Amino acid sequence: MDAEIGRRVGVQDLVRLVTSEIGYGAVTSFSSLRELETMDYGYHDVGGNEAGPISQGELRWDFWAKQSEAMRVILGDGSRRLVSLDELRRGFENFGEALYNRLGFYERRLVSMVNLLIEKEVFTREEIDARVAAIQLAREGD
Amino acid sequence: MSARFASGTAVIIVDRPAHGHVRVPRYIRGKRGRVAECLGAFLNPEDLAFGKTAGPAIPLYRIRFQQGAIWSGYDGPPKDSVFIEIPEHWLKEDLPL
Repeated sequence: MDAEIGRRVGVQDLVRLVTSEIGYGAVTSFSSLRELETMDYGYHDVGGNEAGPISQGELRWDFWAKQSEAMRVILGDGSRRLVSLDELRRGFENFGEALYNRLGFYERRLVSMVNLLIEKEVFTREEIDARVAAIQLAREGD
Repeated sequence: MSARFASGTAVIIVDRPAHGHVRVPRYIRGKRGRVAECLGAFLNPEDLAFGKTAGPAIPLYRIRFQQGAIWSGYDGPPKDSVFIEIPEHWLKEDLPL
């Protein structure tokens, strides 16, 4: 069965997804994947847990977060259907607990969206890395 | 797919391990509630989470739970309720013994 999955997805793709810095980085070994699969519930499923006092302050809503949410809506609309909210959630609910908790709300959604678009071969990891590097270089030049 | 449970039916939420993307919260699994209404039929989010859109539409119900039946030591008024939308494959009828 593993060989079959390997043929369909491409073993290199699978390994890169599981070990990549940006997304599935916290799931670093197949033993931890197995641990996730034997849990009765996801680490995100915390409804009803003791949570302590609730912060009532306003949260930041950065421009990049608004941009990435706008992109998500456009990519998921009726004419494109490239990214659904259910897929997005499945993505970050499989980040592994450490990465899930390290990222903020909009960061989780963005990282999961990038992973999905790579899975669906809309672009490659190399392409997005190169674009990020080019933008960083341009900023340093300012 | 027609709705199996009428409004007012006593139900138990199935208590099974949840893998992948599951929208039934852990704290409500195994708990007893009552069907408030059927909201129509929708594709299964557990399949949609993996991009599978070919499955059948599944009836979705709004279920009413008494807060006192969910939380041990709940000391609010007995009429306090929580409503949760739950798809049919997570429900079984709560038959009297």
